[in-house]
Amino acid sequence: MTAAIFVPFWMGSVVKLYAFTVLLERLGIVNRVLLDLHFISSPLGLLYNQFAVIIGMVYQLLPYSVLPLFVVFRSIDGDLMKAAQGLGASRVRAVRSIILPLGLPGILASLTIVYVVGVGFFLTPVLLGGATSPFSASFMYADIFSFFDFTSAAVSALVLLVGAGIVLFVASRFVGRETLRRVLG
Amino acid sequence: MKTGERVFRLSGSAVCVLVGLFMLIPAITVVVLSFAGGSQLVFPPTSCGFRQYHVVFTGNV
Repeated sequence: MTAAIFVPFWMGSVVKLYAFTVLLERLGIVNRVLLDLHFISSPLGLLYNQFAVIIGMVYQLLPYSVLPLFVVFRSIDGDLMKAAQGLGASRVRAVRSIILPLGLPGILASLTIVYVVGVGFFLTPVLLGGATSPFSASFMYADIFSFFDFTSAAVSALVLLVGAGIVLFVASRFVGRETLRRVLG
Repeated sequence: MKTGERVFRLSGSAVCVLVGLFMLIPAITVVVLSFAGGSQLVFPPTSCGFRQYHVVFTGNV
């Protein structure tokens, strides 16, 4: 299972995205399986929309999310759970009161890194989303290469940079710089 | 083991299997497509062969 999480790192971005094109196209694997199982009567439009972009981004960002969570939750002593249950807490209560607060730095670090990596995505929205799913990077590309409006592109880039900086600052204030650095490697 | 705990474990395992499949299926698709004989991106491939590997190793694009 851990090895499966690393699979996106083994392929180039374009290769990954073309694999999703093959999977999600009108007569792709997903639509064909759904048609064969009689879940749908006609092929669904799974490609070139926001759904395809979300699927592609989840696939590429999942390893960045799982790794910090894995590090933090592995470091939590399992005996704490047993102790809480021994004192009468239910499993859900023990997870909510003991495990989640201890794992909070990892959760925040995971959210931070996913935001910072995902905010600059360009290929995924272009190849899977088409024109219907514009992202900031696509707007910047259009500003530079279609409208030759470098000022607008620079402003968009600065907004993204400041946004990522604010998120990193807030995360480091909440989690602590040392924890954030350790979790992010 | 209580029923609730069993359901919790089973649903956790089911989620793990689904996530594993989600991560592996695109990679498996790429591997299968690399043995396609044709030049178009169609799944399942209509013909099999090493045409793509020949192109990569000889540089005859």
